[in-house]
Amino acid sequence: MSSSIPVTVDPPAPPPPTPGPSRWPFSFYNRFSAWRTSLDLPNPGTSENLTKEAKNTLLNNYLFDGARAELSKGLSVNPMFSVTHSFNLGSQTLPPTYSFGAMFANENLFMHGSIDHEGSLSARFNQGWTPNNVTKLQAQLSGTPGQSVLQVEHDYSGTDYTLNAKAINPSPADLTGIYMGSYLQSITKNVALGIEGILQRQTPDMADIAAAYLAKYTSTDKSWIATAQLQGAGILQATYWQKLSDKVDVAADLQVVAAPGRRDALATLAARYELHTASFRAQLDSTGKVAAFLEQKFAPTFSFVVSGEIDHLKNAAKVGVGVMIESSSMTPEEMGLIPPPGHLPMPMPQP
Amino acid sequence: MLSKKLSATPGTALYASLHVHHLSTPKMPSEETKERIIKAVDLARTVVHYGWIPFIIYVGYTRSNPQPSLIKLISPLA
Repeated sequence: MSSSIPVTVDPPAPPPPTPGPSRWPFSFYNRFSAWRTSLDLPNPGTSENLTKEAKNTLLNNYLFDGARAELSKGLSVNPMFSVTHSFNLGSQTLPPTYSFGAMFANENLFMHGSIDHEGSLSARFNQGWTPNNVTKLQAQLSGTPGQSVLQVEHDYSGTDYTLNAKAINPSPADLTGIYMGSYLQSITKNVALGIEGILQRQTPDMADIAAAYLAKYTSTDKSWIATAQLQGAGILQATYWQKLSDKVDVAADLQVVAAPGRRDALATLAARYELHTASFRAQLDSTGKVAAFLEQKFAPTFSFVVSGEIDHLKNAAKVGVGVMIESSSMTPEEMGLIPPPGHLPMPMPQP
Repeated sequence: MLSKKLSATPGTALYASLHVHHLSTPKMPSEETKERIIKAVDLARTVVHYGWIPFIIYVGYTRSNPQPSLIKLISPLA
């Protein structure tokens, strides 16, 4: 009986394809995702790394003054474990400091901590859950209350987009803190557009929402990258980075503030030469500052850095010198470069 | 019938008023809970402040291959 009914029902039943249109959102989604996969768009990278190439060429993050020495000791290669002792003194702006750091890293975990002689700690913790999901924690803890900062962050990288959620000093008691979310999407193989939302809750009954817009253009052969970031309060940052050859790259950075009370702009040009044993950076900006930074490797374990900046308008200068010594506690045998003598193959087997 | 009876009791009225109160001030824990949370956060901060570097050194020391000697770990010159 049950077999006779399907025979009668079957002629009208054949629409297994017709349920498709009736459940159109799903078929639409499937077609949309198939179309999206067929575009084969690249992942745009994280919004934090939007200007990474330009930042790496500009020497704002490298400049220092006074004298510094850094002794780092690699204790293990896999997993990576090292401790560093660093000394800074003679700076015009900062008091002399000593700090001790420890770092541990394996395939999906990274931990770093550094504590200075006054007892303030900076800590970093990154955990990769899957190749696409990374959680990052950063903390600055100091003995004086009110100066501690905690930042919790999660990155998700899709095939052609990146999502990031970030909370700075979140308080579970009254939900104050700064919360950010960003979404960066590849539109074509070269263009990526993004939006970033920032929610600031300094007190429980005061919230401030702002949005920022991001754009990035990467040339097809990845030899040049242009980015722009527009923040709500009339702040525009534009960067341009170009690789001229294997050893030379240049970067330009323009920051414009066009807020009602304040109009300001700063342009910076920089070049970087990456040579066999040395790297040299030079920079010029629109406030009349000229700066240079040289890192020279004399031996694989010893490098020397010089940094200098001249402010022509204020007639001021800053000079910094530093040494970085890397010592390995391991003998070549332990590192596996030379097999230990006892393990040499015996040419004559015992009878 | 049961619902009629329930709505007639004063208890549900109280419940309803509580519910409305809860809606009007979302996600606001009581002062007591807040104080407890602040205390717990302070304790966690102290633990991380003094324990983070020893924790990294412990993890690195036990997972390293080969295991380094302790004197090499601490002294800058060894």
